[in-house]
Amino acid sequence: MPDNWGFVLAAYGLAAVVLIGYWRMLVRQESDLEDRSRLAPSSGHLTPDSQATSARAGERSHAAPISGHPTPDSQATSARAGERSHAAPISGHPRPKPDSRHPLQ
Amino acid sequence: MRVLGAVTVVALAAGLVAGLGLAPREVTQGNVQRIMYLHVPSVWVAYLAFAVVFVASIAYLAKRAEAADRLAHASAEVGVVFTGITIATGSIWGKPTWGTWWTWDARLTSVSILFVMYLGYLLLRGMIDDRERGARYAAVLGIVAAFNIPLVHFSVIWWRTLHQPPSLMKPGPAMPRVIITALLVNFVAFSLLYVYFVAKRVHLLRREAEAAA
Repeated sequence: MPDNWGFVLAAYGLAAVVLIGYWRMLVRQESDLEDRSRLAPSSGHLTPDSQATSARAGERSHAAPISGHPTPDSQATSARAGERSHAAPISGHPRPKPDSRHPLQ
Repeated sequence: MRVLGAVTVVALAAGLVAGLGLAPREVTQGNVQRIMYLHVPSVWVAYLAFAVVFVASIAYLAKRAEAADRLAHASAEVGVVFTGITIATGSIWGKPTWGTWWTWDARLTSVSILFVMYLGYLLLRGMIDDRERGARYAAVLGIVAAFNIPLVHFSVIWWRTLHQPPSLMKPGPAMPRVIITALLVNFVAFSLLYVYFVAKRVHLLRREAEAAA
């Protein structure tokens, strides 16, 4: 009987793809959970990680969200800030009042 | 967990070397028989995983312990992965040796039913919003589905099938020692991989439950 190494490699390759794929899925789920617990510690049950994050967020309470990914809350804040153009933007750099602005040249 | 992961990777590498390098070329089938070092440990892990589901499901129904439910859930998921690998590698092995990718013989059919039953188990868990009710129904299915395991294993003895009968635990001349050793190395490696996957999945399920609470 011929050796059929192609079938052997196909079997091992397929198993490797499936097992590595499953492992990567687990790792991705784990990092998603970590991200979620860091961004939204609103459940009341604070883990040591989320407490540290809250403390840092408290120090910079006027700053933008830490990760740069807007949460639903921050999006709503952006929308409100857009309506009131003289209000302080999220980044913490206050805009001048409308009457103190120079006209465009 | 990292140590277990590292040990598992080393064991898998050893298994690969043993199966593809150290084990001799089989006289009748040629090198395609090396698929055995992947196929047989995979089905062993699938049996182990579903046996754990069976025991953990009984423990959950008896004590309503969430840890038992999480163990059953994780083990069923890993078991489905390894059953899928078993079916796929068996099909690839079947083409050059039997001349067909698939045939509806007793072993192949019963293992397919096993696969579909545990897929159903996972779907059932995902379909029911009430977590406690879902866990209860899944535990009942986890117990019922386990009765298919002896059916799968003994199907090659009870019925006339294309699939070969058990090679390791049969009376008569034993396999050469080097083949048995290569197989055992892969058994250990795949068992470690099972423990690693289940431990990681249980950890994730616990964290998900904490986040949802």
